[in-house]
Amino acid sequence: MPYFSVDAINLAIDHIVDRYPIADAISLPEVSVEGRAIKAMKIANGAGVRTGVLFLGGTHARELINPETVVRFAFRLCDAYTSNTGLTFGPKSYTPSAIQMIVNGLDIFLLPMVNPDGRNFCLTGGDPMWRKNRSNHSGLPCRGVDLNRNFDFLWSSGIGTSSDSCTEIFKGPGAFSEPETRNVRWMIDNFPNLACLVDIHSYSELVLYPWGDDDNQTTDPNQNFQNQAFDGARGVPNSGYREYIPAGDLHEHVVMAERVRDGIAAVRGRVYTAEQGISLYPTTGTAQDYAYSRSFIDTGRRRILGFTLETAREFQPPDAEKDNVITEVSAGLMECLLETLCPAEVLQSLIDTIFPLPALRRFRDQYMLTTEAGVRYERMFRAHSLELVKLAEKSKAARGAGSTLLRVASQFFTDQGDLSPHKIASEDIVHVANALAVVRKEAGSKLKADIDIALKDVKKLEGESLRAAFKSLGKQEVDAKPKSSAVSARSKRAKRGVAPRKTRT
Amino acid sequence: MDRYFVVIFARDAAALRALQRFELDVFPQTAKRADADKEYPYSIDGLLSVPEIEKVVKEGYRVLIEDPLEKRARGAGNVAEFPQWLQQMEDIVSRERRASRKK
Repeated sequence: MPYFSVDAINLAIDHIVDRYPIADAISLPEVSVEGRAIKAMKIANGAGVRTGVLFLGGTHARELINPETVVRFAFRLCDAYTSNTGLTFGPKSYTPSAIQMIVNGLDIFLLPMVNPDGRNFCLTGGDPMWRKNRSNHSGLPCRGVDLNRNFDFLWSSGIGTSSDSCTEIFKGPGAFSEPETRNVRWMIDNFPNLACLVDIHSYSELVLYPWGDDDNQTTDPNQNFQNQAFDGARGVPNSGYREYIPAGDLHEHVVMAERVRDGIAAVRGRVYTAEQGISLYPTTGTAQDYAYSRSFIDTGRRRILGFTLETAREFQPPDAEKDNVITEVSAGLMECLLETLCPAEVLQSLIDTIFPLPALRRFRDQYMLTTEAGVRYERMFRAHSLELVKLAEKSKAARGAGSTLLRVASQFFTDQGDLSPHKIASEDIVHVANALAVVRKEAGSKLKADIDIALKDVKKLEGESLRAAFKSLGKQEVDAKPKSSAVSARSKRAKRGVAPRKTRT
Repeated sequence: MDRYFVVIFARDAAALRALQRFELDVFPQTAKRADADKEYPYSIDGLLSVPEIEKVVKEGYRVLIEDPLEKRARGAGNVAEFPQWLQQMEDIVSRERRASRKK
């Protein structure tokens, strides 16, 4: 099948929205430079506070495959949900119940074709390898802005961008000078529940995460993109500057990137490289870094994990390969959704109660993930998230137990979301142990084994504050087993702030 | 002007980054270190015209010309429209439903 026209993609989006009640059109505020509609949609079933994920495609015009990947993915997801079937991507399959949980538990936002003008120019006799949009700013000699250099992340720095409109990496006359990038910003502004953004590009078989401007480090918050004292050193090799990323955030980015990579690899063995965005070339003004940087600027907003997926081995793969790439990338997107699915949020909506989940997330990111025991527990929780969601949906007893666990956890936070002085009391331990025992009854063998570990741990924590509890568990591990292997090499790497800079051959 | 998909090889990472000053259409995400060529271990893909290739070679880089642009331009002049998309999707989901029933 040849590549689809701009009209075909827009009609496909309309069709999905018309055909499936779980898909809604999102009316974006701006049309493209040449006046074309830019369409977005949301796939979800249910209301309440839910986590959102945003998939972007077609930012760069010549990367023709990605808008098609996003619309096909949307169609298949909607159809599988509606007909209560699973999804199969080669040998990789997802059960009907996984599909139901994803659509019932998440808000999935899709903006499949960010740059319709550029695509049209590629397909209709313009330049078949056009990258930018088609803007025509007065006084500039050449057309087009590189949309993935136009976001307001270190836009003025010039790192990895150009002020020359005739280059492929022209950053535009100002940050967000283009309607296409303003639409993406509008989505981030208007959907504060977004927790993950995946900007899908081609090519190179990579899953990239922040930062793109300089190497990551996790120890010196002072070296950060907002600190003008480091202007001039940022993005310069061997300058001593490295971009700060909290250890917990780095950990979560790495876990997600590797999960997406593994999902893709499971389809036909193409192993994408999960690594920091900078690679050998620094960049600024990208969607990935902008989305992630937002929580540093608007400190009250939910943090968005930012990713750039570089699909395929060329911009416009031939037909059979195109299908293969769409299939494998779809599995990667499924893994992204599963990783984002939050059992606590699902439980909250099932029992119609509000728990201080933002405060719990903050605690996880700022404290828990800086301890070895915290990393271990977070991994454990994620590994069982699908089973926990399933249990919450089918079992009243499990819902009650989950509610107890969240209620106990809530005591450690003030109404403002700060840590309270509450210490772990004996009755907390009894409540937690009883709740875990209830879940254990209905759990599979792996979850049972992990609950047994938790049951043993929780009994040691009386009198501890929540922060001290994870530190104390880590200490006990070290005391018991000096060369503990509880933390993987990857998370150790993450703790050191060293990005996994792999050599690709 | 004719353009070619190329791989540019550089002696070191600094030389690779220095390509930015030529403002070429190189693809940053393809930059990598590959030890196959000991003398020029760093590489990046790009889409260059003949004068650009000549300039880069003159500056001390190695350039491997892979394909003319047209060979990898699979979208231009041959597009599919919505009815074909819908047919393709119906085929895919029919297969999915059949497989699901078998399970």
